[in-house]
Amino acid sequence: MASTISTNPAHAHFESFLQAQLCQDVLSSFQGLCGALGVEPGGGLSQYHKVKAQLNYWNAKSLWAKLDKRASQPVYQQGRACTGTKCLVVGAGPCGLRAAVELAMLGARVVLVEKRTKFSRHNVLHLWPFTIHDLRALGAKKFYGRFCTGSLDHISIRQLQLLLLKVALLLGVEIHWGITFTGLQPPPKKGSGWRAQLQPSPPAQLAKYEFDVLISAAGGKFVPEGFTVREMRGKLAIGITANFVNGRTVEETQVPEISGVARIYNQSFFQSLLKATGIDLENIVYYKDDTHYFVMTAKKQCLLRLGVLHKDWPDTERLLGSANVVPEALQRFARAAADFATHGKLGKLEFARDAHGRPDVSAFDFTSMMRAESSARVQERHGTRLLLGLVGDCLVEPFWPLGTGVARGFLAAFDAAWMVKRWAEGAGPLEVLAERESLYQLLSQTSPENMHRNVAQYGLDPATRYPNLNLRAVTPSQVRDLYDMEAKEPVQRMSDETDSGKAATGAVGSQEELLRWCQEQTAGYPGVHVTDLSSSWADGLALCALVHRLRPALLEPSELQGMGALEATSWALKMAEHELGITPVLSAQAMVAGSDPLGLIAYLSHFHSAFKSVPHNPGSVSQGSPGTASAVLFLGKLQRTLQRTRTQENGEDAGGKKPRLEVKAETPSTEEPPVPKPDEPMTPPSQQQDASAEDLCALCGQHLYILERLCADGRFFHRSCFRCHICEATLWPGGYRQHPGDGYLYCLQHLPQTGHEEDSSDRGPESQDLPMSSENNTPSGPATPVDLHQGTSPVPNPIQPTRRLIRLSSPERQRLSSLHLTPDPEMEPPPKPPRSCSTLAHQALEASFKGWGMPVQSPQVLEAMEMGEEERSSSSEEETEEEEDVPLDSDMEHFLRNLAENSGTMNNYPTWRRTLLRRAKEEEMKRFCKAQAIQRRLNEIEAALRELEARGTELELALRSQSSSPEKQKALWVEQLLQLVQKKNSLVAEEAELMITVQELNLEEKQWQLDQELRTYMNREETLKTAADRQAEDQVLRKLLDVVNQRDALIRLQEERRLSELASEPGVQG
Amino acid sequence: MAKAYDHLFKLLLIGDSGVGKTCLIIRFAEDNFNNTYISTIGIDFRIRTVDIEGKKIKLQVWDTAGQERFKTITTAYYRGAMGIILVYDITDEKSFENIQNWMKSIKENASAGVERLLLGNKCDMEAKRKVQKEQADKLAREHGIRFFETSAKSSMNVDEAFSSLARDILLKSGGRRLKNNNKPPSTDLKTCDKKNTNKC
Repeated sequence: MASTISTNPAHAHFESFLQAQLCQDVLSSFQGLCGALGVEPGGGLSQYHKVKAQLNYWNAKSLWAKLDKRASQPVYQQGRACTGTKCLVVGAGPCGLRAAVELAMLGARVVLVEKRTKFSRHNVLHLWPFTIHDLRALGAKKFYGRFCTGSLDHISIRQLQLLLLKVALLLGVEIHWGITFTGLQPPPKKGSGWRAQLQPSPPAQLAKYEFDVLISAAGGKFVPEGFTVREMRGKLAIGITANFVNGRTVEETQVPEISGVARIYNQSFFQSLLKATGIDLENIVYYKDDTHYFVMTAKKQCLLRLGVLHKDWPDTERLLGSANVVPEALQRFARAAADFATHGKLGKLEFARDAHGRPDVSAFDFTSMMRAESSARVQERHGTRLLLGLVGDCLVEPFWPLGTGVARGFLAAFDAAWMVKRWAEGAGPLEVLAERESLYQLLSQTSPENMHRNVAQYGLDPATRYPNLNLRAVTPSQVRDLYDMEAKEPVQRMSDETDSGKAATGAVGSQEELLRWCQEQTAGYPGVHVTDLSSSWADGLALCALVHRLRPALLEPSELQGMGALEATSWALKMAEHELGITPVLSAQAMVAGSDPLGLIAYLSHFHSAFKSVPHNPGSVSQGSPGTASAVLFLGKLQRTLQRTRTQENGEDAGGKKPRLEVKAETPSTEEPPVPKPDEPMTPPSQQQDASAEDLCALCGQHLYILERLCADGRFFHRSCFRCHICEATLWPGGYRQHPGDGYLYCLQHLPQTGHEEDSSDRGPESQDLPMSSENNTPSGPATPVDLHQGTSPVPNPIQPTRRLIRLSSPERQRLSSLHLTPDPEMEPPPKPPRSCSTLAHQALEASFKGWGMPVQSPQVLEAMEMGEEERSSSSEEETEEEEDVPLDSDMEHFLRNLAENSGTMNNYPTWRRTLLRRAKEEEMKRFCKAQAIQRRLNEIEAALRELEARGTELELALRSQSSSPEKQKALWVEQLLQLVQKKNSLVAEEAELMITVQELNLEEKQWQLDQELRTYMNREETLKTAADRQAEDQVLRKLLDVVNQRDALIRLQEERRLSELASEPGVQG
Repeated sequence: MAKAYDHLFKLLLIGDSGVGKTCLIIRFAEDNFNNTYISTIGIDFRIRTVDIEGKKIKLQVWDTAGQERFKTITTAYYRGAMGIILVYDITDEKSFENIQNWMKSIKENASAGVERLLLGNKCDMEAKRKVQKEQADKLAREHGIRFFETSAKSSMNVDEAFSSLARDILLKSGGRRLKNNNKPPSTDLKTCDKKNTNKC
């Protein structure tokens, strides 16, 4: 503790202040420092200057230099921008402290109250480049030498709080501990000011403190009165965080961090995890910080199965309540997952202790996330105004998998401080609020990519941070209700679910309008007379005419000669689905029989909303006119393309080169019109006569209401039935397969595979497993996606065109099956003791891993690749960061050198590899964050869809049963139903858009993995390579090129889509 | 999420190994730089959307391996490119001399009328300069193309170079077909494959 460099007691206090690792120590050493210097703490900037003046030895000076540099930014006006302003900040979390620091720099008087008395949160936050820069500029390295020295940029909440606390104290922020803010005390009479109600009773001088700005940073559960909160609901999501003691041993430093693996683009990882441990996750992140920090999203089913949760309560609070969680099981669970993810290299994984001395592991629910409707308010009583601002979790609850970490929190803290500055400048309340709200609108869209690039210039002024800033996006008149003049009830805005923005405004219009539109569109076609929305469509000609009008190229009217009604209808339904992106709501049979008038109306309304000229959906940009259908359409095409690719992969895996084959040849073979159900493999396990295919769910056999209908490959399902048989995750139209053996649907991850126990019986049927078939044949579809693969890739063996496996290569499969752990996926395996399993898995994987760095004979498989890569990436651990010193772990360097020497890759080892890995990690992180944002939105969409379904079912029931209701009422109901259908369609379109991005991510991930794999070959001495090596290298290269071409195909398809939308616009508008 | 844009342009970078093609692209697309040399394997691309003349231009920038062994792979991608950027290293005379060969390669493999641009990279390393600006200027003039000296490290002229090429392509395409499909180049895009199904 004591400084040896000086006899000055103040220096000793200062040194221990810098080093202090506990909240108490920080405070006591600061008291000591102030005492020794004879300075009153908490005196604002003048205190800072006094301390600075008296402490001018080298170690202090380097800190002053940093702080002075920051404080000298013009925006602070030399600490006089807010001299007259008195602020109360509630909460000493990172965001509260960060805001307090800014306010102090502005020269405001800042008092901070915090109800806790220590910092105990181990959890680790991701840092964006600007936050790193920001914290460095505040002297982060002085307080915390390990700041950003790892392979990934992050910091534990505790360390972040500690360092910000120190800065705040130095800048003269007055801090009170163990005091809870319970509410505001309005000024009792004219001329007096706003005070806080605090508990327990604070010292008199604090109780009397009158302030004109309140910054609330008290956490997600505490939002001051007057603010309304909006809930963003998704489907159930259970997060688990765990912190293990980091002993900082050599072994531990070598374990690579995981910036994030997400199931939507790396399924194999999660599949092997499941097989080895019974643990089923959506994603996992591992940061090495003060603790080994793991955070993951777990599936409920496996938590129940593994006994982590007692009972499956529908209510999440109860589900994750302490009475329902078994701590020991949760610990086992977290430990097993962590162990697996790090290949058992972290050793015994002892839990760190939380604030109460318990193992630091917790399960939490992030199904719902709160977001304040507004970020600031002004209250005025007796002529005294108070500006209230929110920062931190009470403004927006961050969603950890997005990796936004503390970045948006800091941005909001800056914005809040900027608002205070404007306030102090004398800007009017409405003006200040409008500006603040304009900034708040930007917050949720910020990402490192769309912020200003030059992080060094970031400051308080929003213009230094946000490009394309418009401080007038929200006008003063729009924020009137945030200015609370007298004691009236604040305007409570209804919280609504996610899609509320585009509510009923864009109604489809009445049935008459729909009918009229259909008549217009089909006018002039011989034999077509649309007079109603039911029987007029029975002969199929009207629908054909409609399709023809919208896409004349699809057929010659003469071709319809001789087609039966059913045939024509089937054709038109299929064309509409494949070429216009209008998914069927009813079967051809029902249409011909006229048995489902409501379904027909719903179906036709989709055409109407997608192709009527006037945009009907002003709220949402991407879901406007042709967009709705086109996203779905595009996804369909994309899937067809990528599906081909998958089969190619398998073809390759199966061995050697395949004859070049026009891909087209593969597709028609399985082609059938979607509706009259094609022969064999499509028939689900138990049911179903196809008579009323859309009435009954193809899986559960229960009634299907119109809103519930999900059409995939010509069959209709409940959304809720359209789930993976094992993990029960709702399937995505392109992301599922039906297992021909058992007829169940599976997500790609859980699809039972060949190569396991059921092997022989499976292989046959699997090759016919063509659930995507109905999408394959697009008679006039563009030829491009097909061309794409000709050049570079071997194409599947025609005999087994679509043995579609997940992305496991054959050696990998072999290894997995050799684990003998493979539970039969159909039966819920009895919970295995996770520990032993993971050990086993670990051994098995370990064995495969031994080859790392040495010349390897067989192509590296994905799994081993990952491991290899991660292992190597530990090298970036000792990568030095810019300016400051990093403790370099010589042991590890030595170890790595050895390894490199042994592997004969010595010359290639050093920097390029580190750079490569660093870059790879960054890319991985970006992908992960994107993937998580998508995942979250998909979940929200699903929740919204379920609600729509429920409402739709009600309406439909009413319509069907209450035949006696007056016509007017019925018409209204139909209209409402159509609105719901429209909403559903736009949600489905958005979902499709997201899935397109998922495909991009998938390909990027794949490219990266192949690139890594290829480099391990290429960096080997040419003379040491065997012929097999060369061949393998060649093959990997070809795969790599193929993936690049696929990414290119995606770009091209998007371009085609854009062009076709362009082309269709003028035509439709007539 | 399909990004809204008005045009898609496909650019391609070629030049000797180690002149900084990938670094230029990374600087352009991500505003990042790293000193370490990592050779590109085969071919890759990145996307960045820029605003030019009020239009949103989505640029698909193809990165090629400079190493000889990948030559057959990379030349197959020339034909789809609407703009080709030839890069040399101002500290490496050989890389400048080779520009002639790369020019020849364009002639043999790229579509006729492809826009070209010459870049002398690493201009932050003035002390080690071997290729004078005048030489390159002269060469560029001979071929009737634009020339910039750039530094991926300092980001000097990087955005400018890409934008000017994109602008040239925009002007050209705008001039040729006015409204119609508003973008002839789309056909070019279909040809990035090894098989030359070019329609131009």
